[in-house]
Amino acid sequence: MPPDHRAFVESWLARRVRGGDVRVLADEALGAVWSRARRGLAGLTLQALGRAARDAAARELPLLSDVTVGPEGFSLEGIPPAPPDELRAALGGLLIELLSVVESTTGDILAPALQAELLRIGRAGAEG
Amino acid sequence: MSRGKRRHLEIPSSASGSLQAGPAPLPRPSRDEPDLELGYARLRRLYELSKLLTSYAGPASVPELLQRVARTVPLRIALVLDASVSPPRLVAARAVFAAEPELSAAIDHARACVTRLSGTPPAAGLVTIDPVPLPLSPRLRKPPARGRFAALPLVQDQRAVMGVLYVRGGKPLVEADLAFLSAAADQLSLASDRHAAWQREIRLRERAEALDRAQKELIAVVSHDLRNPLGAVMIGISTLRKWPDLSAEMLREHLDSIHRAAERASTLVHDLLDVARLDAGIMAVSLEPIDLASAIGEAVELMKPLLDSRFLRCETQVEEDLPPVLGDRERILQVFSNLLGNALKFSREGSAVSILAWQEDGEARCCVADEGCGIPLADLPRIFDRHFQGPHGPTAHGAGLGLSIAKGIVEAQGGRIWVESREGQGSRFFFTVPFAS
Repeated sequence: MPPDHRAFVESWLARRVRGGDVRVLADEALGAVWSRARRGLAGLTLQALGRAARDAAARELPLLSDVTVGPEGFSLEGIPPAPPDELRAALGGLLIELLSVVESTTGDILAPALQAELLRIGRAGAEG
Repeated sequence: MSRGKRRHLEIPSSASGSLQAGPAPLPRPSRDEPDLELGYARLRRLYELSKLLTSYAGPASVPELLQRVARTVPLRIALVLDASVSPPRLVAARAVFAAEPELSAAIDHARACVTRLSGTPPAAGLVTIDPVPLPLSPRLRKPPARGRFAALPLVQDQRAVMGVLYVRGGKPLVEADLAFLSAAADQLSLASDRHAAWQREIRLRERAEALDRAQKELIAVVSHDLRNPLGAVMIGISTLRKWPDLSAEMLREHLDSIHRAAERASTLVHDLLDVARLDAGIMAVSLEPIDLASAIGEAVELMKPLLDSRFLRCETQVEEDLPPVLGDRERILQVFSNLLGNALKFSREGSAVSILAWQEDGEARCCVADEGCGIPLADLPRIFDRHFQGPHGPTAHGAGLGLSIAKGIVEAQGGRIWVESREGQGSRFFFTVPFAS
């Protein structure tokens, strides 16, 4: 049975976002996941997956339309100022789509590693 | 690299104390380091793959690529789908110990992956490699086990998803397999971009050469065909100035001759302007419903003096109740005029020229037929080429632009033009015009 990426990301967000800066957490999480994915995927392939995830997530969360995808990963610089709840939803949506698109194109070759990487992000301070 | 046993390539102790000229060669891993050995082999294969793709020649190169990929990673199926068309088209597939239904199921799954990657809604219908859709067993309808497949996007201009490299492993694929396959997909994307850029370059060069040729032809036409009538005008005028007391009859003859020469020059200038418009893609046609019978009547009326001068009989036959066509009346008259002018040039005095119009396959068809000398078989493919003059030309009658202009006008109105001819038995020029409704 395919993993429930939504439940996983929601649970991770609930534990990590506690009064911290969502934008900083988003940058860190997306950067780490990208770096981990880059070990298993070549540059153009990963960028294509990143764009597919961004486009799918932006259909539900228009805030993500301003996210750009380049060789270094996602850039959130273009996202306009938004309330923390909206940013949180946007970050969650992007992560869910990224995990889903990786899952649907590479089975469980890479997605579990990305989840494991995500679990390491923001652990210090958030859960303490 | 095996777990818990990370190994590093070490610098030989002899190199540590002194500077060496150039880097030491990468030591080939030994047999007791299987992971490193495998990595080395894959790197070599990837290098070979990139060398192969430097001579990428489009889809024809894909089977070789798949073969090389399958030599590195044990695969049951490897295929490439082209997603630039809908539904995605199979470019090439390689199946090892996989029957055709499994391949068909893999293509379906690959197509679903393309949909996921490109975000486009799935097209209806089953993708098959056979004209007859293959019935799939419930087992094959299911996606393969997780970890047994990978669908790597192929991108165009480093952005848009234009296809997918899809594989199914003979055994569960690991991340190192994925890294190799993904690198192969990237190489294929880049090779495809390079190939497309090269093809664009060739097309641009061909177009530039064609424009250069056209320019040279234009200069030739202007310097030859336009100079002749202008020369005739100038000679006529200087004659009149030299002998102002010519008789009325001789004066009229000279004026008629000057008028004919000026008319020829004017026609040629108009033709050259039309050619320039066609080249630039700005041949303006204002489409409106037209009664073809009345247009044909007007065209014959306009050409009557010329037809009469050669004692040619002109017969017209238009199907009754022919619906109105959608065209530019002036331009349709020009097409008839050019075709009749052509018939006029190559017809014997006293022979017949016919114009017919009828309905066929949902469009109007027109035919201008003559009983002239006909066109040799070898010349038929070039008859609508600009400046083409058959074995009976070049003549003093024109610059060989009329038929190419007629073709440009017919096509600008959404029609087609062609010719049927046999040497010595006359020619029949056909063209179509869409109906207004």
